[in-house]
Amino acid sequence: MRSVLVALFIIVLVVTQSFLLNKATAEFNNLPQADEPTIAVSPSLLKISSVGFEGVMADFIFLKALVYLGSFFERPISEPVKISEWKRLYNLLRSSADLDPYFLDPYYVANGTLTWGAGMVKETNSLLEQGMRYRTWDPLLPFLTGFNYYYFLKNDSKAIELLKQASGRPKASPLYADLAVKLSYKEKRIENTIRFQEFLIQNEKDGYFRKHFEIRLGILKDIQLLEKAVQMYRQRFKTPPNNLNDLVARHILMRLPQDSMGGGYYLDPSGDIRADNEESFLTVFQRK
Amino acid sequence: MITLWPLAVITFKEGIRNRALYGISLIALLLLIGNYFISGMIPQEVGKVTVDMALSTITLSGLLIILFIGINLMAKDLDKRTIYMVLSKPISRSQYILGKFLGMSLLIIVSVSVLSIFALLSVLVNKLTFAAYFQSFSWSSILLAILFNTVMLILLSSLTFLFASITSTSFITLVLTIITFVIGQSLSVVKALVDAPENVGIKISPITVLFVRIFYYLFPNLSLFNINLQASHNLPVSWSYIWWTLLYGIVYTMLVVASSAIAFRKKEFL
Repeated sequence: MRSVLVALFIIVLVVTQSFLLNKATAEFNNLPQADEPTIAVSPSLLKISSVGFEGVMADFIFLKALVYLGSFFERPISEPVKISEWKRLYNLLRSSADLDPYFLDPYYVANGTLTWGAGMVKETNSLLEQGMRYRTWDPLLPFLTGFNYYYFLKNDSKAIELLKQASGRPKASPLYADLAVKLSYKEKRIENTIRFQEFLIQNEKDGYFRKHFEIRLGILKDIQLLEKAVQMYRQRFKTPPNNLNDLVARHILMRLPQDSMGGGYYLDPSGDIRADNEESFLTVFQRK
Repeated sequence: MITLWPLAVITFKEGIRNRALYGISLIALLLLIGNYFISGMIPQEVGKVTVDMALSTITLSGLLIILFIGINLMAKDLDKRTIYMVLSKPISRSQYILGKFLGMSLLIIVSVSVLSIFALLSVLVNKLTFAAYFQSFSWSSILLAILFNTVMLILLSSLTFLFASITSTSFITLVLTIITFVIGQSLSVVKALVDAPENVGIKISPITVLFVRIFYYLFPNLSLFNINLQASHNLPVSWSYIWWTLLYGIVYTMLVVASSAIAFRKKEFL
């Protein structure tokens, strides 16, 4: 009888403490909370305080950042995220990356949230550039940084440089090189584009893509020839040609080039040289 | 040598029977089970976090074994004054220290081996569950990191014998061991800071620089044995690094054990 009473008493205590825990937690969540500090801790101090457990500390700080990010989605739309809160998220991701600069996830999450959500593009790029120095085998980080320069910062030349860097890394998708060439073409930097395309061909082992790159190289070289011919025409006759046939008529060129697919070239209204087969030339392709 | 082995075996058995080992094993088991749930929350590098957790569990458990079991193996004899009974046997004080150290090293090797089996099992479970997220992974890197951790723990345990030889209570030995572990793990970073303080925009006095440089050679550089980061990302570790670091560990341990034997020979028991 006594042991039954003791057991009942224990059960009542267990149930009561569960109920009280829920109540206390609910009350705690209603307490006014101070703004979290946005102080960035120096990497050296972080490493010293980790006492040899840098890797796992980086993992836990990253998890803390994820939980903190998750709290943003729990609040109503009428309560936007403050800049100080975005900065705290950045500091957490930065701390994780400082402790383990080879850890991909802080860079990945930073790029996905801080650029679009907070507009902290320069800070994100600085973080990604740190990752690029360590993760030298990874094409993803230069690609993401390149995208940020192109889309958010409107810096095409920097974007091209980073896409080229991405395409040179192991197991890089041909998409990176393809995009770099497209951007180069729009920048009218035919010489750089041709050099990049030649580099691409040298490093491409897949026959399908190699053939496609060689066709593109041929078109780019034709465009380069035509641009030089147009420049010579302007210098000689002090006026631009009406169309590319003028180059042959005025003996600047013996004949107009044709690409390997049988297409020709033309002068568009803005004075740029275009290929008839531009759509196939500039289309991003996928691996079979 | 003949007298050393029985003493080492007795020390080992004493350590294995210590009840603190059950608590440490439980902590390790919980951490390794938690490895599955924690790694599952990571969006990309699940493999890296899995290996981090596994190796950190081994390091932490090894550290707890040294602090709660290793220190007691010798300090208990001193605290309870049973040392008189031990020294009345036909065994020199140096042999006593050496025998105890060998027993402790055996305990660390066996404990780390058992922990490693469970740690590798937790890594295997995660690898099978999240196979696509184990991009940079190598079993040999993990085994190398475990070897380095073992050498580091043996080195640290040798220091507990030195501290026990020169202090009067096990508590002071415990505190000194913890301080040495913290200093040992931080030495490389602190030295890099004092060598180039302008990189972080601070100024350091010449006396501080001198002290840090002295401490750098006096205290063991335990961070050299920490290649957990390299293991979790499968980064290359050169054979020369392995050779020089292990040699450093062995020589430093020999130096500490020899110093312990000398200190213990001169110790007066009141």
